[in-house]
Amino acid sequence: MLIKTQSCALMGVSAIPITIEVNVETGINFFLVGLPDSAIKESQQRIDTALKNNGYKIPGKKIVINMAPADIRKEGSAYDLNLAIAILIASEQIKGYDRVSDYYIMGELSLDGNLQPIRGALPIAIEARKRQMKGIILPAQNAHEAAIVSDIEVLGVENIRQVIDFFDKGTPIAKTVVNTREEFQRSLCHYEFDFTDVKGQQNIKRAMEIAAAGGHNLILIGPPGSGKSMLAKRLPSILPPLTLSEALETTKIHSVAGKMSRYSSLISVRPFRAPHHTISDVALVGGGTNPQPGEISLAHNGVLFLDELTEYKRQTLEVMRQPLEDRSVTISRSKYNVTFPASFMFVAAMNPCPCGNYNHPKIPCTCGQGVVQKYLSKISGPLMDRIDLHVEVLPLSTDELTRAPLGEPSAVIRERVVRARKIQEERYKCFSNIHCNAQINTQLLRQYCVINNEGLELLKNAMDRLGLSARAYDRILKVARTIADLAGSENINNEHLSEAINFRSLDRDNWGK
Amino acid sequence: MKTETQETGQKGEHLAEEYYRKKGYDILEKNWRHNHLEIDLIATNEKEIVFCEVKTRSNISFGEPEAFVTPTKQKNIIRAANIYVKLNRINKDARFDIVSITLDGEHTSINHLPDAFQPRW
Repeated sequence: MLIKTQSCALMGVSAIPITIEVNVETGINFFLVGLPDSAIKESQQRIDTALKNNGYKIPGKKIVINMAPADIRKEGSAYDLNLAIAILIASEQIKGYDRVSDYYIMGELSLDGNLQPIRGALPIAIEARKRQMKGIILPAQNAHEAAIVSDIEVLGVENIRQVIDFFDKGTPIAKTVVNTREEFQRSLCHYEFDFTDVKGQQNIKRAMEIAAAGGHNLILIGPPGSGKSMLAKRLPSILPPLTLSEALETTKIHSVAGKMSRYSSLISVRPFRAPHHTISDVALVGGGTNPQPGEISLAHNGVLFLDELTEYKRQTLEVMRQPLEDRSVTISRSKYNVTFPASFMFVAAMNPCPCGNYNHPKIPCTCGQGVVQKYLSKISGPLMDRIDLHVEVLPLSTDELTRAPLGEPSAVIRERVVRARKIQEERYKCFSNIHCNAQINTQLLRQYCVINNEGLELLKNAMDRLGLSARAYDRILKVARTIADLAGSENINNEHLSEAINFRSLDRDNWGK
Repeated sequence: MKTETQETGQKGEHLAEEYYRKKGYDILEKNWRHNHLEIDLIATNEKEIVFCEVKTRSNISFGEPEAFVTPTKQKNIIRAANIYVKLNRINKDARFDIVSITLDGEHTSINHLPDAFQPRW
C-alpha cells in the first residue's frame, strides 16, 4: 500500500516541506531514493531495532521509500520517526492512513524507541502554521520551543509507542502550550558583571552607552591591563532587553544551529559571542557543505566581541567586511544559496602596538620607527571604516585606582539606554527589520538624521582634517542621532555631532605620527 | 558418483528439512534454482515464508559454518527470493534464515539462526 507523510528539511533559517512516500508490495528488497545522506541510510538499523523492541518490525516485502522533492539532498537523522510510522502504516501493521498527513512528524530514534531531540523545531513549527497543518509531532525536549507558535497542536513525545497508539488506537498525546508573551515578560535577566565594578574610565563608559543605545560598533585600543576586556564583559548588562520579534529571529537561528538547550523556549537574553582568535572564516561567517550559521549570525541582535583583534588571521577579519555593512551574509555553494541574518554589534579590543605602551601616560613605547603604523595596519582600513566608535583606553593612575568611588551601576545606565531604544522603536515601527539607529539605510538616514548648515560645516571640516570616507560620514550621522536620542532631543545639535566626530579620531591616518 | 563433500552437504540439507518440519513448517522447495541463483530450502507457515541457506561442515577447524554465508551470497539469495516471491505471487513477509550443521562423527549439532540477514537500503 502507498502512504504519504509530511516532514521538513532545514534550509538556512527556515524549513521547507518534505513529503515521504512509502510503498509496500510483494517482493523482497528495500529502496530508499530522494538523495538521502549517510545518516538517513543508517537509520534502517535504528528503525528496525526500535520497532522490534516495541513489538513491530520492518516487513519482509518490497519497500520503496521516496523523499520528495527528489532533487534536494536530505540530511540528518530527524526523519527516523517519520519513516518508521510510514512503514508501519504502509504495511498495515497499524491504522492511521487518513490522519497521518495532517501532522509534521520529526524525531531521531534510539534503539529502544525513545526519541532524541532535533534541530530547528521553531522554523518547522512556523512552516507548519504557514501550511495550515493540524500540528507537529516531535521529541518532548523540543516541544517548548515549537509551542512558541500558536494555532497548531504541538505534540511532544518521549517514545515511539505514544505515536503508534495515537494513530492506531486514537490515544491522545498531551499538547504542549506556552504563553509566549507571559513567559517572555517574566524572564528576568540576571547579569554576571556590573559596571559599578569599573572605576573612572568615563569616556569609555560613555562610548559603551552610546553603542548599546544605538547598536553601534566599537573598538577599544589601549595598553595591556587597562580594562578593555573587563569593560567589554560588562556590556551585556547595559544592553536593552530583546523585543519579541528580535527574540523570535534569534531563537530561529540558534535552533537551526542546534544551540537550543532541551525544554527551552524563546531566547530572552541578547547573545554575547566571544570566539577565540583561532577561529576559521567558515566558523565565523557560516557555511560548510550543509549550511550552518556562523558566529556572526549567532550574534544576531546581540554582540560579537573579538578580543586581541590583531591576533585574528587577517583573512578571517576581512570576510566580515560585507556582513558588517549589509547586516546579512549570503552563503553560496554549488547547489544552493542561503542567506543568514547577521545584524550584530561588533566590539573589538586591541593593543596600540607590539609592546602595548604607545600613548601610555607613564611607560614609554619601545617600538621602533614605523612599527606602530605597521601594527595598526594589521586591521585593514575598510574594516576600521566600518567601526563607528573608536575609543582610546588609558590605564587608571594608582591614585584613581585606589581612591576613586565606585562607578554608576549598570541598572542606571541601562535605564537611559532603554529610553533611547524606545524612541528608536517608535520611530521605526513600520519597518519590521529595523530596531535601532545602526540598522537604518540611506533613505531613512536622509529622513531622520537632518543637520543644520553649521553642522554640515563642522562635518565637512572633520572629513577634510581626518580624511574620512562617505561611509564614515553616514555612520557619524547615525551615532549623532543616537546621542541626540540619549539626550531626549528631537533634533541633532552641533554638540551631538561633535561628540560623534570625536569618537572617530583614531582613523588610521593619524595613528603613529 | 558423489564426492564426500557433496554427501556431507546432502546429509545436512536433509537434517535441516527435518528440523523445519518438526517446527511445523511446510516445505515448499528444496534446492530451488533459477538460472544461476539457488536457494537451499524454502519453507512456510501461516505468517511467513522462510528462505534458508544450509551450511554443513564435518568439523569447525575452518570457522563456524554460518561465517561462510558471505555478503555476496546473501545478496544472491535475496535476489533469488525476490524472483521466487514474484513468480509465485506470495504475499507473506519473507524471512532469511541460516541453518548451520556440524557433523562431527557421532555428534551432530544443528544451529538455527532465524532472520540472520536482511536486505539493505
